[in-house]
Amino acid sequence: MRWLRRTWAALPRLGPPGVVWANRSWLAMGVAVGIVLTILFTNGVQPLFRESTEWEKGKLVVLSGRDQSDGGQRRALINQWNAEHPDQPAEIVELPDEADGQRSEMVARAREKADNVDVFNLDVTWTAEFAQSGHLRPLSGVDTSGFLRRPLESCRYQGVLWALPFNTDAGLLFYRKDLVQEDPLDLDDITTTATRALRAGQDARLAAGYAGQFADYEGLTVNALELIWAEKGDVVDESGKVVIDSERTRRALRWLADGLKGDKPVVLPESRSQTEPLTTQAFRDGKIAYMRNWPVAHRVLQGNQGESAGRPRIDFGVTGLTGPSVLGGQNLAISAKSTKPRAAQALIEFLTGPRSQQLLFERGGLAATRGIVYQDSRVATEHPYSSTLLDAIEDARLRPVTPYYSRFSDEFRTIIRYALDHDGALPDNAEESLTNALQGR
Amino acid sequence: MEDVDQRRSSTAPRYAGALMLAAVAGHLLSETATGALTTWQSWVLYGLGAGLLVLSASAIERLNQLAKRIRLRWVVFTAVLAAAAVLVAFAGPPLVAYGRVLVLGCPQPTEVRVLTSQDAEPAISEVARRFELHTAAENHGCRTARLYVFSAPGDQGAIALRSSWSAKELREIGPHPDVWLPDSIAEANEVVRRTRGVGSAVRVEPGESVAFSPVVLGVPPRIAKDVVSSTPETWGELLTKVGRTGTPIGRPNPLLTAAGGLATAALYETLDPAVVERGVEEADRPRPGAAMITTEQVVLRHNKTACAQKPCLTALYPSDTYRADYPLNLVEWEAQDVRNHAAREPAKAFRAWLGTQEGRAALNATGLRPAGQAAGAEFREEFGVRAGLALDREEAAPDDAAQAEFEKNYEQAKRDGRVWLTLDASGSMAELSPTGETRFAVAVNGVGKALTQMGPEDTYGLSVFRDTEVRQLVPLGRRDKEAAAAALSTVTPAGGTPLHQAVLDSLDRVGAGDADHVSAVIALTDGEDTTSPQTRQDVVDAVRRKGVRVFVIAVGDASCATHALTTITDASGGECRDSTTDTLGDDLAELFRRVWGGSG
Repeated sequence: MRWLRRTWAALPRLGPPGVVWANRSWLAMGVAVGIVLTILFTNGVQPLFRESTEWEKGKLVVLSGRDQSDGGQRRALINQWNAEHPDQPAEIVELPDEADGQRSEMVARAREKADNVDVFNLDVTWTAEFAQSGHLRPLSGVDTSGFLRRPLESCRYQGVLWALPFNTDAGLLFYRKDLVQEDPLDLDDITTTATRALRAGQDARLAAGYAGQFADYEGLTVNALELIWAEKGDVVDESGKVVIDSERTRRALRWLADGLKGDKPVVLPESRSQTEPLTTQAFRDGKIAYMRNWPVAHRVLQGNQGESAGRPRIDFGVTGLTGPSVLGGQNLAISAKSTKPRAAQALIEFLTGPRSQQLLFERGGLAATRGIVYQDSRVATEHPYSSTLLDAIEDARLRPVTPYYSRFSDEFRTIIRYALDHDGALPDNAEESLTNALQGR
Repeated sequence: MEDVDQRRSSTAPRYAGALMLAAVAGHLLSETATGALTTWQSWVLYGLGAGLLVLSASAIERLNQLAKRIRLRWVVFTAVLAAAAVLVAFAGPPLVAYGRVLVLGCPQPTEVRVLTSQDAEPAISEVARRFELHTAAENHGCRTARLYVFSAPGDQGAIALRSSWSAKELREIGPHPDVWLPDSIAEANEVVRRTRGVGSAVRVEPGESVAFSPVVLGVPPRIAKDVVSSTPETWGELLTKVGRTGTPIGRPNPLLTAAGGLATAALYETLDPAVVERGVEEADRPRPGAAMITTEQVVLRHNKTACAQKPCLTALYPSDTYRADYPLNLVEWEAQDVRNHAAREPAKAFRAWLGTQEGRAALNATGLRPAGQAAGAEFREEFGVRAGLALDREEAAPDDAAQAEFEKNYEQAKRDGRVWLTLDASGSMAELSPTGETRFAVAVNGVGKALTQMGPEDTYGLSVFRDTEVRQLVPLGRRDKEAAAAALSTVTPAGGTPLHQAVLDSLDRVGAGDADHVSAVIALTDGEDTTSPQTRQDVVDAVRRKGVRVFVIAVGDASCATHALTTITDASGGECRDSTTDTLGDDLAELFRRVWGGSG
């Protein structure tokens, strides 16, 4: 032991702060000890803390809006999961139909400290808010190949993957085959065809050329964005800057404001108080030549055609909008407070997997988030609009990505309503109020 | 030795100071980046904070050297440090909060779910927006609370609270409320009593009335001119007068709504209950050309927003009227998965704000009358209401004994229900529901459940419609419940949907209501009409002519959001209700309960 004491004595003492290290042997020793410690740590200690890959046991709670698929396909999938994984049974807690009500309950639960939910079924516009608030757990080790690009993009915020796309949606343009000969390329084409049809007066039921959803709810935001994009205008650019004040935007809003006016209006005046089902009905009643709607309207129109005997039927076709559509749909994300993240991740991978997506689309009519499903022949026969829809989804755009989306949407609608009442003019503070809204003010 | 001493004495405060600063900086930093080190902005903030820490440590070194030249330097040093700490403690948090808003944007507001009645929802929504703006004004323009205001029909909110908000209620009514703002304290008291038990998952903390609105009789202005007199009149006198002009008088269900119940209780005090029941018909909202028993704020709002030639309704204020008094109750959930600790603070703040001058003004602007506040500019003739009030009663509602007495009288006096039910048996009803049964089978079960709601004097009849025919299965006037099940078991769904034909047929069979009967038609369909020779307009005309209420339950592809179904139900004063195969039985049962006039 003497040699040890001698070595110790020979080494310079640990000095007070400010003393410069001059002794190289110390440095060498430090490096050596560091290496040894690192090796020990990586081989011996770290494996002890490495996460197990086994799924946690216990019930998985999924918070979701009501199952809107035909024949409750979502529930059928959950039942299948439960049969295959009795240790990790999943339960869907269904929330009210109204999106605001769903969001309210989800946010309120996420704010609590308790582990009260494992999986959120989020509207595409909520990803940013939930991610920024720390309500979600980022996903890792997920194979995202095979998902359509746009829906997957809506699952990312600030470069991190927070969710997987459950189902997607894009607006389509429905038209009456007896009045419309070729697909419109821009809004002016719609005006021209509509005016011609209205003047010709070949159908007494025809009241206007075009209808969308312009009642004061999220539908107005969606429709107004699409019209602005159709005129190549924009509201918020890639960098998050508000660029609403442009000639192109004004032109789109003027088209809408002017279209709503007059004796034979291009845009159906009632559409200012219409939601999706009401527009579908106006179209089915033969009141309009063109309709902007979600693909679900196709099923309704088709269904009505089937049962309708002896009534003038509406022969209709479907094409893409004249500009990009707004991307709709829902994403599945794991709650940050879930104590069963691995099982939860397995569940959402199951629900977004190719087979589940196939079933949800083919039988339930919920548009799939995986490209391969659209190549299936059964899907194509069941839903003849599927290839048009696929094009629309690939071309679709996200609504502005911001944690304050609902504030933004509220402000944006106030501006659009003002524009519709003032011949398409923007209010003076439009840019400022939207910029503030994007920051949550 | 001198040298060493000096060094030792100089390092101690240096470390102490650095430690203090580190503690303060660490605290502020953790506050800044609460749980969200996920964005690059928050990392930048973190970096800035760390840099600041290093800088302040070297500043201390400098300060220390400076301090060496000062006499009593430890006293001075400690004093300066303490002063700095106090300054940072007070000025730091708001500064950091502001910096955070600038860099990261506003923190997300806390979600508060507010349950109210259907009548009060528009007014309360407006007040809630004002409150949000108020919280923003004190917080760099960032709202600290977001109020989601929703409502439940009739007394369903109260029932849902009493049963701790079941899964079905979560889906049908809305999220778990943090605040419950019903129409009347009497209604709230009942729930408070029932949820007080130890094992209850929900606790309703009763609150005081935030505002009131008298129950009035809204009449078309031309009628108002004839009946209004300079002396105060009671409910009984007004009802008789208006009834004499031939104007129909609508009243919301007296057992399910506050306005209907309060008015009826007052009416029974001066008129024979049977006379009252023959003089009114059930209605949920004002109809053109008809009078309506409702609260003053509903009349005001109706005139302001849904009326072309103002006013559409003029409020008549009976001298003996009661009033809706809107208590604000805080709701606390304690079950693990629905606990609502986060929302309690802002909910309390909302309640407190409603008592301030600003809050009272906001309530007043929506047509409510907060206590101790003179009626504002909204209360004017153009909107059919008047600012000055002269009411006889002190109390807002009859006491418990009087209420029980009134309910008993109502059960005896109400007219018997006569219901014709017609079921869709078209091909689409054969589609399978998620449970594996056909929609038709689910509907048949629902009918069985609904028939249990039948009162001792009530009767029903039943038909099905498919393809081009409407087939009567059970003739009107039956009371036995098994007849329906037996007859329905012989039906196989197929073909088209002759809904119009079925409704017209039902109207003929059930006949108009009379002095002793209330008639109604309930149609259950999963699609719009496809095969009737009659148009929608034919049905609307017939409904208007007969004056029978028509209710539609829409399942599957049918939707009440389209005009096709609602034009029929609106013309009759009935209601269209969306349903699913899950809830069909409950929805049917509830509708029958309403039509037969019971409280369930």
